[in-house]
Amino acid sequence: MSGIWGLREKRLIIWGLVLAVVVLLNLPAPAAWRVSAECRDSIGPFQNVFSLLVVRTGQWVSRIGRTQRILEEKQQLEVRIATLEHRLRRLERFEIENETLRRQLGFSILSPHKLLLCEVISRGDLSGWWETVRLNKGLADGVASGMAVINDEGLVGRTIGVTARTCDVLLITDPNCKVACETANSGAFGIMRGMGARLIGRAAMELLSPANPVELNYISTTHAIQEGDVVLTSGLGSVFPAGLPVGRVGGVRMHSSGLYRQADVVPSASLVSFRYAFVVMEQKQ
Amino acid sequence: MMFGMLMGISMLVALLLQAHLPGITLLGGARWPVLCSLVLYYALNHHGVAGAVCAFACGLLIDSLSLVPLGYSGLLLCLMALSAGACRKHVLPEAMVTASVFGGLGAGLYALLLYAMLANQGVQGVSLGVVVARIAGSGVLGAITAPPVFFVLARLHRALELGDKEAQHRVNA
Repeated sequence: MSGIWGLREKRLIIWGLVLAVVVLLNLPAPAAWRVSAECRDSIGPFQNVFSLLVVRTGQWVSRIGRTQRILEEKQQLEVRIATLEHRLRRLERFEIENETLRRQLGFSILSPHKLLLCEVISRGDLSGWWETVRLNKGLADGVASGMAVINDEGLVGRTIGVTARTCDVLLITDPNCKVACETANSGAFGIMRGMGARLIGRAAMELLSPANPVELNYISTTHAIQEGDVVLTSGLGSVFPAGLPVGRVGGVRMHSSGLYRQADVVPSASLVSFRYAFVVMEQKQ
Repeated sequence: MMFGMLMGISMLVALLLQAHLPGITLLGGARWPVLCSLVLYYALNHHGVAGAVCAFACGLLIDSLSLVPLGYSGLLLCLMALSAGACRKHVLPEAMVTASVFGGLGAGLYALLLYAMLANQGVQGVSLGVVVARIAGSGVLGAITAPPVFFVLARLHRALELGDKEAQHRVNA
């Protein structure tokens, strides 16, 4: 590369890059978003394929482990029994897959909302400063910014940064995500806010950092609220439809000002390892 | 042509790896800085232009695929590439120790400066402990990630005879 260009050309390229950085930093928001969206949509298919590859490799590795076990048993058992066992295991895998798909389908049918099934293609913000996941559906599928995202366990987050074929989901554990909630038992209202990642988790490596329990703020002191109460979205604030399960109250305390109470909420949705999620499109008629 | 293609493919692979490798909880959820190591490789082992082009492209990719405002990572990575390029004549770029030291310092400083810029923009709620752990963690992961990245890329460039001729002349002299 250095053989092709002289010192003058190299300087010109570097100044050109400096100019390009300055232009990028000063781009108006819509133009900056268009550049980002183009990049995201170009990389999206590669992320999709890579994500699939990771999943398939995991399955292949686990299959190798399983085959190894079968081989060990084969030394003790007859060849026919080993073959039947292998076939049985294959059927078991199909049964689990069938069960998962049935559950997802059943949940989709039973839900009072029109849902769009999406697959997670990337976990965690690339810079590491936000708690997000990327889904494989975007504007082309009717997804818009600010839609609620749930899975069969509960609320996951809301869509942000929607491009033609992908969308990012800001998880409820991110401090920038706020949700208007109420408790199912007493009807106490509050604003729930993520408390971000924590340093100590279940394992040293996680797909996403384990999060602190989210915090429900501004709960009136007149309402009875106790540990174990179910927390639902209240529908106030217009982003999240009412009645989506969020989690359970883990602990209640008075705010230091003495004006309202706060509660720790343990999210009902497992946010570390889910693979499918639903974007809430609209209320069913 | 071949050089550009190899750089492009390396960037794509590095991007996919960085996006899919899980962060480490004990290090504040810091991500593996594969793209940062790639930029440092080009800055230290090839001419400054290669480093700066790679830095700009990687910065654009990082900002596009995350919630960081466009241009932040490009600016930081370009500065990193130019600074590393300036040190190029005083270090042994092929040595693993060089890769590790530059990888650690580069990733740590990148995380620190990016946080400073984001904090200025109002990133909320990240506790000080997590910030410190994440910045230190980025440095540690950078020091671990850079040597293998340098090794693989150096092998690839040597296999395809795409080494920096200036550097080769300097070594021969």
